[in-house]
Amino acid sequence: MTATPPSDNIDLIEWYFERGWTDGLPVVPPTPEAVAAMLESLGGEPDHLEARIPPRWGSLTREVLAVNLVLAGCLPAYAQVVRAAVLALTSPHFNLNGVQATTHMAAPLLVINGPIRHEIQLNSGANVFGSGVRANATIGRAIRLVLLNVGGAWPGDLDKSTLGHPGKYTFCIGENEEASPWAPYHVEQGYTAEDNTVFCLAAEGPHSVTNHVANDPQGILDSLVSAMSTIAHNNAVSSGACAVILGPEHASTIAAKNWSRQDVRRYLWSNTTNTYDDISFGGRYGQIYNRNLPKWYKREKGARIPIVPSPDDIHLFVAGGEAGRFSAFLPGWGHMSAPVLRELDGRSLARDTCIDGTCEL
Amino acid sequence: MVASSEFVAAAERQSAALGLPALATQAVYVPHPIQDATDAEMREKARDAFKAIVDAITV
Repeated sequence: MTATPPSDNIDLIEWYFERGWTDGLPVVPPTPEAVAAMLESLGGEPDHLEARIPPRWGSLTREVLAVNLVLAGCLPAYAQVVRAAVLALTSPHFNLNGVQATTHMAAPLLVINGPIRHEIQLNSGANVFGSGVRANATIGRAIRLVLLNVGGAWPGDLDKSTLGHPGKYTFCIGENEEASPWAPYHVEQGYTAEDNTVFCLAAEGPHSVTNHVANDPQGILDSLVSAMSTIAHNNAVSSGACAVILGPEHASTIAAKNWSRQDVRRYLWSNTTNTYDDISFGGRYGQIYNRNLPKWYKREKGARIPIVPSPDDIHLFVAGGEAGRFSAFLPGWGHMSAPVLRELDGRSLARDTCIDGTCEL
Repeated sequence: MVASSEFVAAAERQSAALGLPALATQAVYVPHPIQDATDAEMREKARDAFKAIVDAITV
């Protein structure tokens, strides 16, 4: 995707729009100097093939990655975060081909842990899913530009998403480790606090969970259970994995009663259920749809079905501003994609769960 | 390959990208949509597509 503008007097931003190399927003022209600086941060070797990006299976060389980083507005200091995220997304477990092409709205959510958050000033506090911080905005945008420009996932073409969601512009947050009462997510998964990791989940947008009244874990978590216990999200019918973001106030109230992260996950998992009657619409539409439900669902009137296979499939983070009694639930795409946790330097201690086993075939 | 008619263009582009354009041209497309079809409608789609599928997988 390298090209030279036809003349020095051309409006570069409009030229990139005309070539279709944007996400719909103006891009930063990738001058040779800017690309060279980005390439250096990636380790040089411009022809080194980092990954092939589905569904078009375009070749993402280090130079092409550098170009997209510049287009997105990234600083060179962000380069290794984006590279690690791309490598995580192209892990077979993630099934990026499916995530890119599905009619569902899923987009890759990135959650960053470790000291790198401070080095690049990544937002993990107030308005964490919102606008205003360069690192969050441009790291997520760089991923989207790679998925578009190299993966070919253009809306309506190879990206068949019916609705999409705003996270398809950028969807990158940090865990607020400093405001969390618990060990950081990546430490819980086996890394050290000094390690830097990126977590990826194919996710719907965040659903706000309000609870201003409870002063105990059960009350707060029952609000989350209410948000999660619906037949409308993809986990209800396709299981898989999901994410819960606890706001710091909610997390502090829960931890003050000596609840661990695992206690929270177990409570959410064991109480977040739908009845088989609701999931199957009481058989009103025949049995074909029911056959598409996960095999382990108990197909019996009155059976209560958890939305994910185990408590560990609820990926729990603490993020957001320190004021406000809000949390969020992010449903996943389903068992067709497994989340991936990757250290920036490539070390993989954590389990890369292959939920449905197809990646082992 | 069997897909619904809504995915013809996507199949053509992806098979071309894989260097296997015949994948899309030899595919069998059934009328979209699939997911809300009743049992009877699904059987009708299957019956209508049966010969084309057999032709596609036999020499």
